[in-house]
Amino acid sequence: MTGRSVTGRQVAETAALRCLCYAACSELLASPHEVDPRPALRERIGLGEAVPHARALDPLLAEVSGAELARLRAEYSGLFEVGSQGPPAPIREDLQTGQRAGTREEVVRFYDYFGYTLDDKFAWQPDHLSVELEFMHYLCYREAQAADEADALSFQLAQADFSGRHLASWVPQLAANVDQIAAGSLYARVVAAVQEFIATDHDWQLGTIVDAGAASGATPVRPESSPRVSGRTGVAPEAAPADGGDEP
Amino acid sequence: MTGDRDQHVQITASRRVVLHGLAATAALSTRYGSVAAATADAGAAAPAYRRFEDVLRNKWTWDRVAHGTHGTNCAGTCAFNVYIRKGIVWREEQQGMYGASGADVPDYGPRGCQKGLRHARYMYGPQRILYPMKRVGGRGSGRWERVSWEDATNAIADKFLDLATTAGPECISYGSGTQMSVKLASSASLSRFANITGVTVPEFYSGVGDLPTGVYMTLGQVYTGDTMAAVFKSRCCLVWMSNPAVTRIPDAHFFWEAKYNGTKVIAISPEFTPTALHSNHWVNVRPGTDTALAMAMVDVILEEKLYDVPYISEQTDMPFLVRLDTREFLREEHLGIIGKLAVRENVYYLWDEATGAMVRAPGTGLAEKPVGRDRRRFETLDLGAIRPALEGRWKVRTLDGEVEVTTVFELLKQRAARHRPEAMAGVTGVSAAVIRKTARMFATAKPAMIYTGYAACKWQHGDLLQRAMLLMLSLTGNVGIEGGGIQFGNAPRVRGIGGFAAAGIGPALRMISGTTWDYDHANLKELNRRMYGDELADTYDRYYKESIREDWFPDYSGAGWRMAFFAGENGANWRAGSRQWRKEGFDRLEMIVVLAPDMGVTAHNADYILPIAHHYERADLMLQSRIPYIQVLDIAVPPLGESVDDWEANRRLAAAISRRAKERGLSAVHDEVDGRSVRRDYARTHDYYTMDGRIKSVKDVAQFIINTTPGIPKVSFAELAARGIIRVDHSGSSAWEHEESPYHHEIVESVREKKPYETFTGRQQFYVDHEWFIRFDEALPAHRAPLENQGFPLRMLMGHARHSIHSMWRDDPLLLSLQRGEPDVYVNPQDAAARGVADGDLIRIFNPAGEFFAQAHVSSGMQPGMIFSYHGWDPMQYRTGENFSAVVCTAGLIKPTTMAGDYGHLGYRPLAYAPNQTYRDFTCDFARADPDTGRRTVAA
Ligand code: SF4
Repeated sequence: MTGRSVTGRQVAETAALRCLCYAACSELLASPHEVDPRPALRERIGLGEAVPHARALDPLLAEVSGAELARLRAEYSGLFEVGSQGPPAPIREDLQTGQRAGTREEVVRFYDYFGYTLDDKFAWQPDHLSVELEFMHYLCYREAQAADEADALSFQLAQADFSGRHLASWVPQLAANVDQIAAGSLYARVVAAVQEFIATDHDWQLGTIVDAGAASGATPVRPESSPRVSGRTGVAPEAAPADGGDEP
Repeated sequence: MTGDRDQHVQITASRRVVLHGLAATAALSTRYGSVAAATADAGAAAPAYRRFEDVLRNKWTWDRVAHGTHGTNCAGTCAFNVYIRKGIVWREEQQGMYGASGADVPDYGPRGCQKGLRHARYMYGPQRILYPMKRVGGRGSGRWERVSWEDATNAIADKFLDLATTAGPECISYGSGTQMSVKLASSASLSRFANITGVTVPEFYSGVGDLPTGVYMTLGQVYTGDTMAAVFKSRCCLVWMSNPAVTRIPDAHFFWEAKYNGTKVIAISPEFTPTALHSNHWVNVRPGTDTALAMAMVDVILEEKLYDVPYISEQTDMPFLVRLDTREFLREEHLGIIGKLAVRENVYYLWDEATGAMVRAPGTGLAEKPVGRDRRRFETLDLGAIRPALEGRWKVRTLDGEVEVTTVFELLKQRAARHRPEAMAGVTGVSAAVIRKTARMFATAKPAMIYTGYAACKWQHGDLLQRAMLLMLSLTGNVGIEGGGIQFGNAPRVRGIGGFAAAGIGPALRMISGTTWDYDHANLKELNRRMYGDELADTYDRYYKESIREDWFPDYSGAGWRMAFFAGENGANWRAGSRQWRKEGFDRLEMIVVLAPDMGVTAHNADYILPIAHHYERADLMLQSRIPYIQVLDIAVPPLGESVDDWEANRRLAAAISRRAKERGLSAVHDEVDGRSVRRDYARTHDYYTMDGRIKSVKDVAQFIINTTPGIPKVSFAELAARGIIRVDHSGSSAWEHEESPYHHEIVESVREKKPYETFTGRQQFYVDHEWFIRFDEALPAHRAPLENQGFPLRMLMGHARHSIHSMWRDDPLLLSLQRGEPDVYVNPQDAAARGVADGDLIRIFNPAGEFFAQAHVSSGMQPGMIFSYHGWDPMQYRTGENFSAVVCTAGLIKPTTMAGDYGHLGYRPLAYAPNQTYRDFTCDFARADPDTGRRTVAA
């Protein structure tokens, strides 16, 4: 892996913008019961102009930031937080993927490794979509602040792996789920747009980490441990049992 | 990468202007957590990351290991270590830190079961209730919205105040299930809340059919069990109406170790249970004929003179004289005018063979109503020189002239003779030879025990069965000795609970049997009429009303049932009159509030749901009789989401009631509880609840209980939390025998110290001469055939499941995968073949009460003529949203004698003497069903 380098992207520009995109995604999918996302989202309007693959977010940034808080709360909680047999569309990876052994452990290990510590109030749900997106935001931020190319590479590879192993792997399932339950609703559109951004950005990441050791012309490489994401409804190729073994 | 995407994945220099404008605003913005300053700083050294495996290299360590258990009604209270990292419980592990009760007895640990070992995952599962919820669709539509605690409790408080200040708090029920009640501090919190607010508490013990009224009739106590080590000390153990291999997983080893130690373990059950599999013998009695079997064995014991004369002469009413003209006990009030005027109904007589004369029975006389505790202090059962006759007839002069008297023992012999093994073989399906052999094995072993479960209370005539079981034990001198007795669970005498409920405010708790509450408020007389005919419905109702008219039992029917709290109780899951109860009671409520950690059918139908902390998220105490340890529940992690423990949930309700009462300018109202006037100042509810702020958290409640309950070692809650378990006082032997232990010890004490029992006669009382008992020919126990629904040939039995504790963990995916993944009903192969049903087919189980659908589990372990369903399956797990209770139509069967009163110890005593809700006296049938049935009608 020593041959991997960052020469495939303009770090100073892309990391900062993607950092904003992930913050916006995280805010879009934060529970409006925990925090009113609208002021922050208003600040993000226009991101799509700068980041083409975030273009679909723009109208939603405007729509969510202009919506009644009560409406956001009702729609969000009815889809993601409460339901007679659990939330109709659980917004936690662990639940979307059938409480597979190791899912949350891996997420927590990523957070740990990069010094991202959840507050007590949120510690129980490290796999919440909004939290995972915030972690991506943090990794992009660190990439943007990187002292040198090797440092930046760490964060790029981590983003690619985290995104590939988690976000890009399970959010399509959530999007399909929400689409089935509440097609056309505000949050169905938000999840679809965020899923599209995650998938496209993941592909972009893979295409911009370049194996410097390869022949001239620098071949884009896929981080070794990233499961492939198949298109926009991608699923992780590992066939995990519905419920396997213990957590650590 | 798709070609489509290739067109726009480039963030190019051509957009540089816009890009720079936004990039300048890029800043770290974290809402959920923080990052170490050193790592967040620009230019700080990054942890080198090259491949995913890097994050796995760091050794996984635990931030903390807490002590805990599962605060549910498994009676396990198993000590667990709970492993925490980063605010998450990842796993739990059994602790092996227990001792034993006696040098040669197996110890109590390690303890645990597969449900408990799933909890670290289950607590994060989709069924979890994490936020206050408000219904936004129709009831049961499944449409919810998360709301704030303040909004939810304000709305609840407003409804509460509307009703409490107009109709009275009596019309508001606060049902607490076992989830809450087995946790001492939670139970105390609820009791205090109910005591202050005046809500009615329909107690669950009789409400779920667990109250052993027959034991109470006989011993004046319901709590008669010892520790599990007592099983090991028995020499013959009848495991009857119980299936410990499935339901007592942490303790089942005591049975098998006893067996290898020479104890005869004999399982008595209609179906071939896992317990029967491991026992020395299995007696497969027909469903509902257990009393016939017990009385047949009583007959063998009497006929073959296998009884213990000194024991029954001293400890029981066997030698007491009974008038043959009225079938009443001979009492002092019958003998002279002074006795009659003084209503000396509590002085009984024996025939003394030493003097050839009638003598007053020692230990009778004093009898402070209703239970005669003064006798225990001042009198003795010691016969001294008296040699009571057990057999004979004598003439005695009374105020009614000369009457013939005999002994209870003589009457018992006559009663037993109606249950000869040969005659009962036809009833029970057990051959006379097996009945005799079993009776002899039992009667010749000492100590001998009957280990029974609450199934013995689930038949309408379960009281007769318990009395018959006690006859077997008592005749052979086995009640009240270590390794003997009837082993229902004991219950801790946690004085701190009542003390906390009433501290500073006095007792004003409105507690009622859940059975009578349902009878009044779900029009169960009509259910009786439809299921069992006019005669039974009218007769039972007449006695019911008479009991209330006579003031033997309280009347809480007047104000109606208009609002309900269900706390840790999934009441709509298991009601024995499901449809009727739903239609006539539950569905008509103006507001339903559920406090629970997990979703279930009751919550599904609620208007508001309040999220309650799960087992590892709360502080509390557990104390069960089967092991002599008090166990801590420590807060391993903060409650998930916005859930809170029960203390805090009730505090928030109390705060909202106070707040809204003040805002509405409500003044205090007067309420009457059991004839006493109580002033309810709802504006002060929170002050009262928190003792003016002195009680700050559930840990303070726990400490109050520790400090004020005898038998619990006086430690701080913090110390208990650090240690996990602490042995309770006076638990050296396997029997609860010491008054300073935290358990009921009275029966053992009566035998050892000859203290009168808390019964009308002061003895183990087998003869009950209350006029209703005589009228129903139940002065002594006898077999009564169970009721059935004509035209429906199959009897449905039920039992606790291996893979759930009631409805908790019932929906855990792994546990479901160890079963059939969906509700099933066990049927006999012949019955299945006769209906064209194969294993795995979908079947419809039906009777006049209703129907439900389940998978046929064809098993030769079932007798023909019976079907079996493990309980706990939630209606939400069935195709049509109805579970087994759709066909259970027994809720209105309030047996008249269980509401008898004005008779010494008989009369309403909450949690001791009240009618049980029973679950077995019905029949049904099944047929193959279309596999598509109900697939589309399952509740959302
Ligand atoms: S559920 Fe009960 S029996 Fe099982 S491990 Fe927990 S405490 Fe023990």
